[in-house]
Amino acid sequence: MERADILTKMKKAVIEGHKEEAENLARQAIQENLDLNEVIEKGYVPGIKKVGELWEEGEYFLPELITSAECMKAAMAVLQPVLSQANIEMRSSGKAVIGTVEGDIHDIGKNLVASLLSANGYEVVDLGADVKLEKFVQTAEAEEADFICLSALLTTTMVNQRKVIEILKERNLSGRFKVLVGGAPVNQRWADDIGADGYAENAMLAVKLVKRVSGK
Amino acid sequence: MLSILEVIRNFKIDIDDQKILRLIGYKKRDYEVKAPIQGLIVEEKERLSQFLKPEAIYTIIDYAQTNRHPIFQGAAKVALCVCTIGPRLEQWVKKLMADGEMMRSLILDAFGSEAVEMVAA
Repeated sequence: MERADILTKMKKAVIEGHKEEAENLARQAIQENLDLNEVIEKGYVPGIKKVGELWEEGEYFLPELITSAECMKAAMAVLQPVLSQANIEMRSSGKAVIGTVEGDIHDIGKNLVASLLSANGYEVVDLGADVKLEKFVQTAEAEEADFICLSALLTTTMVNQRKVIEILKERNLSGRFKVLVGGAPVNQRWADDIGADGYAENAMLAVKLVKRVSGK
Repeated sequence: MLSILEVIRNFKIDIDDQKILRLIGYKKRDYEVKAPIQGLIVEEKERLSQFLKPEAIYTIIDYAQTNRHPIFQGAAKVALCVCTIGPRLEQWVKKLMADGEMMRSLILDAFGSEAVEMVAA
């Protein structure tokens, strides 16, 4: 198959949510010794970008975003070991540490954001749910992250988003990481009140927010 | 005086796909769902029954037996009811999510939400 045909098929597989096809094409790219960074940037990434556009136009909804992100993830799982073995670094748009704050075990929304960020070329360190506040800061420092993304689904736990920002202030780390917040009880006013760098209402808007605050 | 608790176990759970589509994020009716997503919905619906153990308990008490909270004001009797579909579905949703099967997990979670609504209804 021609290189251009493979790239077109990769894009189509992501847009249409065909996970197995996305995986098989990744294997084929390896067999045919294609430039794997080019495969990602000209095959899969245009697919996920198109999905984002279709979502903005109201043509796609959350399920399509998720299935397309799963296609990206499946393809990357095939490509990543080969890239690592060849010491080729995958180009990253930035690194985010993400988790649901201490006291809150809800993680579906956080998982969606993590998945869509990853599909859009960000490195994601997912700390899970009920994460100690200190751990967000420690991990962001250790990982040299660009963003700390804090999720909370309860009015009783959203206050912990503020506490993370306070910990950053105490450690003179304000401004080193962009702190982004989300979750059902959270809104822009809350984000402004606690001094967060941004708020997103849903997972796709979170990706847009991350791009915006990082100037990409 | 303790009231008698009634237990109901015989539920017929028959879920409308349109409700699932709405719960997983489709905001348009009659939207043409992509084949991979439709396939997952069909698969999860087929195996739904193995995760459900619907039960409801209820009791009806006199207003005088309540704590006279304002919400009960004006009522002669108060019905208290607790509904469940059991823990298995939630456990399986968490497992799917942990395994990276996010879409499948969301679909099953939506079926669970709708199932417990049907038990309550």
